[in-house]
Amino acid sequence: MKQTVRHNMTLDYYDGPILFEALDPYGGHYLCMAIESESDEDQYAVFGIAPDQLRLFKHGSADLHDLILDRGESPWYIGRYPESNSEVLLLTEQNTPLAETKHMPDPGFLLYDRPPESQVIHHAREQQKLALEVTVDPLDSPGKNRIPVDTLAGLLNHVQKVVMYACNWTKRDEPSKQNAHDKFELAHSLDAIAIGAGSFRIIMSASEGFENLSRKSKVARGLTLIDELFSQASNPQKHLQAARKYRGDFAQSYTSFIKFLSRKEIGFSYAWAEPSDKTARGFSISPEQIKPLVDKLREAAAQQTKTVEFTGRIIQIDARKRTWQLAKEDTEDTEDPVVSGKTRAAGPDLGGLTLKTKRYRFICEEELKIQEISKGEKQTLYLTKIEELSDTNTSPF
Amino acid sequence: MSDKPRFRESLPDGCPPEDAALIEEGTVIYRVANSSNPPKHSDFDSWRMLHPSRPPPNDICECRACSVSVHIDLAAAKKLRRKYSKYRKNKIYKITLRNKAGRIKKTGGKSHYSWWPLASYDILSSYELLS
Repeated sequence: MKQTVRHNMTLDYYDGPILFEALDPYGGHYLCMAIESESDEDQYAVFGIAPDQLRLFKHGSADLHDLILDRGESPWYIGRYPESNSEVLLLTEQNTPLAETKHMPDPGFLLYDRPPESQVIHHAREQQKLALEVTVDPLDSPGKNRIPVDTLAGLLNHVQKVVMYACNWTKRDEPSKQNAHDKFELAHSLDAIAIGAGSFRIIMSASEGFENLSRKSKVARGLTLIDELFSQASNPQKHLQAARKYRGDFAQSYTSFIKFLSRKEIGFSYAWAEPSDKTARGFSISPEQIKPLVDKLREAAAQQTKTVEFTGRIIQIDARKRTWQLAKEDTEDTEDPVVSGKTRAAGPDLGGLTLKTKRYRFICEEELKIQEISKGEKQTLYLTKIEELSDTNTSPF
Repeated sequence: MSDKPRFRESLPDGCPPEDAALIEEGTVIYRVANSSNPPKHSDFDSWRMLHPSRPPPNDICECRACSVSVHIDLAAAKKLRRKYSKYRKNKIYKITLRNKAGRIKKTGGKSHYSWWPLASYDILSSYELLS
């Protein structure tokens, strides 16, 4: 039977993958290293490698030269693509030990200049993708040695959302076609890949591979924004200023995340790195730091709400959906003579109101919410009080 | 008439990426190439040019497959030769780029860049054989 392997992960690139991890049909691991060939076709030295050795090499802790020497006379192959459009390498076993051939690399073949200095870099190199480590410090857990499942699940959900929306925020200035193509779906930003032993430490990895064309992956660009916000955690005013630069889903998901941490009284730390990083980046925030941040954000949000009044006749009511429309009277706003809004669950009852024939004053809270980046601000009117007026004006209907 | 620049190779939509830099006059790059002196235009063919019908691996995008790999650090170019027998007999050319050479972007390791040359740029206009 012909032996074949299939590319799994590019480890080095020069006009194409020149060193990559491959898998055989049974899941066995191989390294494929570009070698000199007599013809113009791509050829690779292909040899099986134990997962722990592969891991060390990918971390930058093992020299490929030494790994090959250690293999002794274990079989190795020359891999070729049998057809111009083939995606699998066809292997031909070689008789001479690889270490004795001209394809043997010089000593010092390390994937990175130095071994990983932290667990998160270790994971990033292993996955060849950005890794994000989140650590939670729960105060609401007796003895601090357990955490409610809903808290942990909620935390991961918040992290996932805030990272995803931060990534999408970084894409907002790109042409719409490319932007739409690259926008993250919730399921495509992060995967949990490991749980740190003896801690509430979860390692996540970018679901998408390295962006290929960028030193920074999409997730890295998003995390850089989150770094910027967390770097101001010790100063609520500066934190608010930093947060105000962002709008839409990112701003909302970030605020919601901070409120969640405050509500659950949990401290939070994170660190992230990409495979070639020498050091990880990240910040920690304690429950004592979180509360003033939330207070400041709430204060700022309250300032975005104002009270407005409208006088006119009701033209539509949906008591079940709690929505209404009012035709304004004496208005100069000829473009928008009708206002529409909602009532909150605890707001005035719309049931007993009369359509068209009676005049009312609607006192509303006007809330400005920033929507999707491209859609701008959305104004929502929440009815807080209704006054029936004497019928001195003629009905417009 | 479109003022979209024409590149040496046919590129997919959105390529080069927005943040690929316009090459500045005097930018020095190092290219490891197969030919002995002088280099040939074909020494600057991308992976896509060499493999027109092969799908790129799943972690390599089409735009990168259409770029020319270069180093900005001579030591990295030399290291490439020491590591891989594929490049051991290759030459290293120092290339000083001029304005309108195209776009370039850092990709991969600390010295590796992807270059998308413009069609109008004479790719062999300024090179020096180093070793």
